[in-house]
Amino acid sequence: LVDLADERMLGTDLSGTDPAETDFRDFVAARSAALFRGALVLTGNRETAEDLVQETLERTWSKWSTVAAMDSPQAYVRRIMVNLANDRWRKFRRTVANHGDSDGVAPGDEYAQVDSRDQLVRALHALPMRMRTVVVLRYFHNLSDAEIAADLRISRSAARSQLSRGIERLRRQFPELSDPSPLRPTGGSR
Amino acid sequence: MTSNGEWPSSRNAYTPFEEELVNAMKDFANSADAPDFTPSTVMRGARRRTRPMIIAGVTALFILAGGGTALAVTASHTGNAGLHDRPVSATSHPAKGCSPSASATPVPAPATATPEPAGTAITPVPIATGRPAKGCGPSASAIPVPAPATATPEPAGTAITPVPAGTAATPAAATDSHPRSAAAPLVPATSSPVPVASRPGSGSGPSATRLPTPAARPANQ
Repeated sequence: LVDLADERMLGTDLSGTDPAETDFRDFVAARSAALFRGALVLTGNRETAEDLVQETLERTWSKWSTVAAMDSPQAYVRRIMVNLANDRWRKFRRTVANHGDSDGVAPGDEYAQVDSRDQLVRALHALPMRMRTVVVLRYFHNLSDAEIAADLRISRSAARSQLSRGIERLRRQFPELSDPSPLRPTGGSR
Repeated sequence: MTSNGEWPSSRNAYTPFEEELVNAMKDFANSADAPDFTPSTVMRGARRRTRPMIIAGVTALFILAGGGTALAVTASHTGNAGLHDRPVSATSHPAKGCSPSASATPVPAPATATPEPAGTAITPVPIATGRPAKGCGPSASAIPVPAPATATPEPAGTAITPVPAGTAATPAAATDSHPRSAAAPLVPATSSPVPVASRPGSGSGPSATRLPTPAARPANQ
């Protein structure tokens, strides 16, 4: 009875030729790599990113009839993944190790540049999860403030505030890379 | 910042630091090969995730249904008990071992209605119908009122019949503390006018059924 209910709820039949299942297979084949890359940047750990994407896809499949009817399923799936990452961070934030402060790197050196980027990513992963999520959504997924606010279910001003504070923290750790940004939001820009 | 307060979405507007941050994130994202996510594994995982929820839902449904049934049964029993608890007639619930009698009926019922006024519910019928059961209150059969004038003729259908006083039941016999002496007058009252001592020497009070026979007196002398 449970198996039959599961099959019915999951939208599959015994033959496995359900069109919804076919669509989902195509979606996984097309989007799983991009999802994994986003999860990797967000979490900074390969195993955690794999688990995050796996759970995201499972939740996506359980709501596939809703997701498939959307204009942009990948945006909805990304939202699921980001909120799952934030939920996990709330649960396991005490077990996550702090990577510590980065060292200064002399500019112009190629190896140093690679090391600089690595240190930048480490500094990014040292940010609080919500702040890190806003930075990743803004600079990796290239989303606007409104899209970030909608994904995280926060206000635009909160998204903007988190973004400016996150960038400011990173800049303080890498003064050799930072210069005054014309895009830096000011306090009276609301 | 744009006129509507949005950050520009074009990467060309990034500062060098932001450019470096974007490149760092892209390098890090491409540093690891993406694993192969099998849709079948994903579906199995989703099924595994939803199965406990289904089981929990069915269990909760059964518990709710059982609780509702129990509440309905309890409510129906309570409603019936409320009907029984109404003070309609004391004969509805006689004590254990007690037979319902007309004297125990505080409210006139059709079967036990007597023409007496209210307050004289106890019918003074001097009949010893038997030993009252333990725990039973005094009834008409145990109250020795030897006045036939006050005895009201019982309607048909009642088991109590008026018997003239003095024939069998005496106050002593009726109130005898011996368990078997109260039932003794029944036999001589209906069959023989001579009292017969059923158990000589037993009992505590004087009774007509315990009078020594004339044959026994010379033996004692």
